[in-house]
Amino acid sequence: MDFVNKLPNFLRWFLLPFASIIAWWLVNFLGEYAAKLIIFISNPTGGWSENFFIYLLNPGISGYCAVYVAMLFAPSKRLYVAYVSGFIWIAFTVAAGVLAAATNSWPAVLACVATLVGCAIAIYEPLPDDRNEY
Amino acid sequence: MNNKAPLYILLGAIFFGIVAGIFVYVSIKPSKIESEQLLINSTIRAEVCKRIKSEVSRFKQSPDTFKRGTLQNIINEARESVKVDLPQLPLERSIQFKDNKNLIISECRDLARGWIKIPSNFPEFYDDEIKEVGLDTISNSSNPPKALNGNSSQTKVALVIGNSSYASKPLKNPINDADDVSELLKNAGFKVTKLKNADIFDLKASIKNFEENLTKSDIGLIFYSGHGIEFKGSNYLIPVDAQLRNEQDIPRQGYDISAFSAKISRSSNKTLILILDACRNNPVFSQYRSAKEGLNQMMAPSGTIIAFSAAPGQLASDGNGRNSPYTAALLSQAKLPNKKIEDVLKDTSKKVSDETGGRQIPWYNSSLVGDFYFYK
Repeated sequence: MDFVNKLPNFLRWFLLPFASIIAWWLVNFLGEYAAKLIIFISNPTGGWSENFFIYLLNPGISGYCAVYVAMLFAPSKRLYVAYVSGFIWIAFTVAAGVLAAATNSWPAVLACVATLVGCAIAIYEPLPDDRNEY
Repeated sequence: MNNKAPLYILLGAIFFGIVAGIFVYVSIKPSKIESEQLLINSTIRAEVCKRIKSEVSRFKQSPDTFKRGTLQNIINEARESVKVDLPQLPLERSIQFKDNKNLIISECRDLARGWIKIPSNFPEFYDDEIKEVGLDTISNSSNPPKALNGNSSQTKVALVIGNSSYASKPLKNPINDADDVSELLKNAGFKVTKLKNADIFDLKASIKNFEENLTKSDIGLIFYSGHGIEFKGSNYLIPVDAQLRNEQDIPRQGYDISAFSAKISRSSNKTLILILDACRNNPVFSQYRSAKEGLNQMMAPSGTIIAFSAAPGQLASDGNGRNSPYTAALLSQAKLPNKKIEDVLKDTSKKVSDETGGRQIPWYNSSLVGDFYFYK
């Protein structure tokens, strides 16, 4: 991620929320196609279910990546960035999960839980600050 | 920051998310009445879409005999007949349908657009239907009929048919009518094809040729003088070799001019003028139950004017002079300069009505765009 490190600090702070959202969307988008590819090349009688990727793995990874990329873009105070971005992502995810549960969209609830877990893992493993910041 | 910080963040975010989710859900949750209304609206929408789809299928199966209701009728019928399952609705409560038409068809807008584009024998319904779905009349019609201006540079083709020598009931004047009308049209700048005593093959071939010629021209005119008959809502020109033994022979041996005009209207943007001096007396075919004397009312498709020698169901006289009363009056009026075709036909009607003591009243139906003059 050298190109991120080369950016001026103010730009990194500015791009941080956008990068987090794009990372979340990109993982979901690419993950969907990756899932189709994996299903296609795996044994149809004993392969992974597409639902596993769509409702569990993709949301989990995208939740993790959203927080991780936010930390990556932060030039300093990465721990706090992890907490703040994690808090926001988890709050959004849980709110969406509540709405999904209220409308009996249980697969969407599962995806929300997976995202929450992904975010939680990212919070528990924050990136260290850049050395030149000390 | 201590080691429990992530846990606090996690729990706080979950709590905040639950509260926010419940708040949003409560604020957007429809009331019971609104839920019922939404159910009714969506059910009616689905029903309207289904019926439009059914209309489209019906048209595809039998385009020539297709008769359709307006979009408004379909919506009204759907409102009245649709069944909505509301298990918890108290019996004494009635539900008021609140949706508007544009919303009703919003889910099948593309289908409705396609349905509106289907050519119809009822062109006057187009505008209303187009407005119903919020479309622009001009943008919807990509190929509107060309406006007329009587410009001599416009190319004009005409097909003039005179059928006299019928085996059972011959007519005296159609040949003379065809000759005289041909002369008139030639002088008016038309490229005229004249056909006398046409059998069914001649009739079909000449009309097909006319159709091809019309693609290279701006204005087309067909003049027919001879026997005509209405059968099951369509008007048929009867060739001289027709031997009608039963009702089914009429569509087999006659030529459906209603379908032809509708076809021209939907396949091209040309202006078509149809003059039918048909339904002469001696309607030898009226013994058949479904066949009626005289020609049926025929709506002019877009860019078309249709003139009949007699009102719907009336008989037209063959006359005692050189021409039939209608053709004679038409010839005298059409020769007058700077007279719009509508005025020519009006004055023709008046003259024929006067001459026949009101027994024969010619009429016409016009969807022309702009003015057309025989002589300017």
